Parts: sequence; structure tokens; C-alpha cells
Amino acid sequence: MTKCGRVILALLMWGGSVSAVSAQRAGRWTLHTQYSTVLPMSDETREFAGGFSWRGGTIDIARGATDHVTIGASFGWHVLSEENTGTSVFPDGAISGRALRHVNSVPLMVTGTLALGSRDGIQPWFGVGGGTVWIESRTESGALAAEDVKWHRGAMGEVGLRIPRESGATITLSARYQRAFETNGLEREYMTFSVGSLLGG
Amino acid sequence: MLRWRRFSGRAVLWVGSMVIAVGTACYPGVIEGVGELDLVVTAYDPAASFGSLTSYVMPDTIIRVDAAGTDLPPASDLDQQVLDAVATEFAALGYTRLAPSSLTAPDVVVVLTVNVDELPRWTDPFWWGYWDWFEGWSRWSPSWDTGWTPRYPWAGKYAGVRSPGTLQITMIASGQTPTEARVIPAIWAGTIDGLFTGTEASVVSRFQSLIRQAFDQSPYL
Repeated sequence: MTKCGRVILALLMWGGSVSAVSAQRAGRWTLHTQYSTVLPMSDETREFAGGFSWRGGTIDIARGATDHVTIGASFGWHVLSEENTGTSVFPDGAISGRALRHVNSVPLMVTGTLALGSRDGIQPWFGVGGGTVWIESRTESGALAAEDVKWHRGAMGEVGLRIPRESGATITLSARYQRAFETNGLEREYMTFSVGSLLGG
Repeated sequence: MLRWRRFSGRAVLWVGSMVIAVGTACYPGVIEGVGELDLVVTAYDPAASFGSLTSYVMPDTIIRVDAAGTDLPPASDLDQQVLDAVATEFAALGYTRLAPSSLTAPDVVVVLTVNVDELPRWTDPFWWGYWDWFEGWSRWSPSWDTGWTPRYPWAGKYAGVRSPGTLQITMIASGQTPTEARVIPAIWAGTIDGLFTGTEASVVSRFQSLIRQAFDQSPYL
């Protein structure tokens, strides 16, 4: 794991030590912060920046509708990056040659989650979301930087596990499929694999 | 209350730390150094109707420009090979090449320039000082003389510097009615970064595939 990854993991463990305060989830707010790794999915995304990325983070804020259902909002920052010799296609041109290619994705979603089982034990949960995704596709070489920035309609689906700790905090593991639908011929699709901390609720 | 304060304070610190950690990794490992890469950049005007273009004129010269924008004498006979390679690509696309003396207006004029020094921009505001000698303008175009400048619809999308020896192939819609005052409509450009650097043998070994790449990555032409 890179130094950056170790730092984020340390922050995550520290965050997990924060005590939660609640008895019932309905009507209570939760803050779910996650460190996310990113895996490109579609051919179009992989051709642009195909490498697995250790750089991502996701923050969800939700309010319990019932003890098992939450409604909230999700904000993410997911980075894909690869040095390759491919061709970057933009709406009004293309660049080919050895270059670093980055995708910065910022999904902003309205979300809903359903958790199963008792909160005293490990709880699986499912989530869906819809909203918008800000995508920056950037190509850099020593001589040139070109970028394309777009807002896309977006959707996501998520599964995960909530693992309660004796301190009262909750550690989470999750996998999220994130899609930014086509805008001006460009779409992005990737998975995030996250470990996080659930506070409150 | 005390418990909530402790919770909220640590939560803010935690979220802030995460944002900083992820943010600093936004553009990792940027390549340093100019001119070490062969890079082919193409850009076009999405509003142009390329499907209706069938003929072109190309001056039989590659203009060389220094950092001050002064045009320099043409170089070796390598230029002719490069011009021939560009002509081959246009022929493969079905374009008919007209002579500069043609009385019939071509659909586009194709001009080639090379900057001998590094240029701090990708869209070259070249014009009259380089091409005023070309005989076709007065016959086909709205007399593009001093004061006219090309408009690149893609300007602003590409930032950076052009390495010395960069070839730019620019396609101009010669007969198009100007939509802005004294603006020459550039509709396509293929830029090959640093092509004319290194030995002549190096250029010879690279230019055909790089010019072909410029056209291959422009399927709309």
C-alpha cells in the first residue's frame, strides 16, 4: 500500500474510534465517511485511464426513516489515473501519445439504504442513489494539458456490511457501482471498494 | 451536550483529514520535461460540415516560425516528403487537390507551419505575415489581409507549450462567410509535437506514422 493509502487507513481507524450516540435510528442523523479504492469498469473508462486506483473518498449523510431505512445524500471524490500511450478522445478533438490520463469524478447523489438484521450484530445493507456526477477527464504530458469537464446524470448501487464495535462506533465495508451516463458522447463507469466509519444514528 | 460536542468536533477533524488526504492525490506523478514525447493532438470545429468538403489547396511550402513569430526560410527537402504524406492522407479520404492557380475555389485550404522555438501556446495566431504571398486568397476568400486572425473554436481546451519543431497542419474553410469580423475560420488542426527535432533520420523514421495518426484519430474528416 502506498504511503498515502496508509495515512488514509490510519485516519479511518481513528475515525472508527469515535463513539456513536443513539438508541433508535429513526429520525437520527448519521455521518458515513469512507476511504474508497476505484476500479474502472466500462471499456471507454478503461481505455482512458485503466489502472486500479487507491485514491477516493465518499461521505454520506443520512437520516433514519425507520430503524432499517435511511434517506440521505452522498458526496464522493474518486480519482482514476494511468500513464499510457493511448488516445484520449474529447468532444472536439483527440490526443494520442504517452501521457498521464486522469479522471476526477465527483458524484452528488440522493440516496436510500436498507439495512437488514439487528444493529447489535453485523448488518448487511443495500443502497441506491441517483443524481449528478461532475467528471473531469484530463490528459497531461510534459508539453500539453487538456481537459474535458462535464456534468452527467448519475446513478449508483451499493452493498455493504456494518460491523459494530464495542466502543459503539461502526466500521463499514462496501462495494459501490457508480455510473455517469452519457453526455456529449462521454460516459464513465467504475466500482469503488470502501472501508469506512459510521457515526451517529 | 459535552458528548455531542466531542463527537462533532472529532467528526469534523476526521472528514477534513480525509478530504485533504484524497485531495493531495488528485494529480499524482505528472510527467516532467518537454519534447521527450511524440504527441499528436487534433482538434476540430464540431459545427463544420466535413462531409460536404471534397477539394483542397495546399501551398507547397512549410512555413517556419521563430519565437517572435517571424517566418524563416524553408528547410530541407524533407519538407516535400512531409507535404506529400499529408497529401496522401487527404487523397485517401477522397479529397481532390486543386492547384493554387485554380480559378475554382477549393472547399478548404491546408497550411503547414513549424515553430523552430518553443511556443507558449497551442493555438498559433499565425496569419498574414506567413501566408500573404499565397496567390489564392484574393480569388477565393474575402480578401483575408492584414488584421485578420484565425479563430480556433477549440482554443482554451488545450493548455501548455509547443516544443521546438512542432508541425501544425491547419485546415481553413476558404469560402466560408465569416461569422465574426476579420476572423478566419479554422476548422481542423493536426499538431505533432516536436516532430522536426533530432536528426533528419529520426524525423524520416517518424513522420509518416505520426501524420497518419493525426488523420486516423480524426474520423469525421
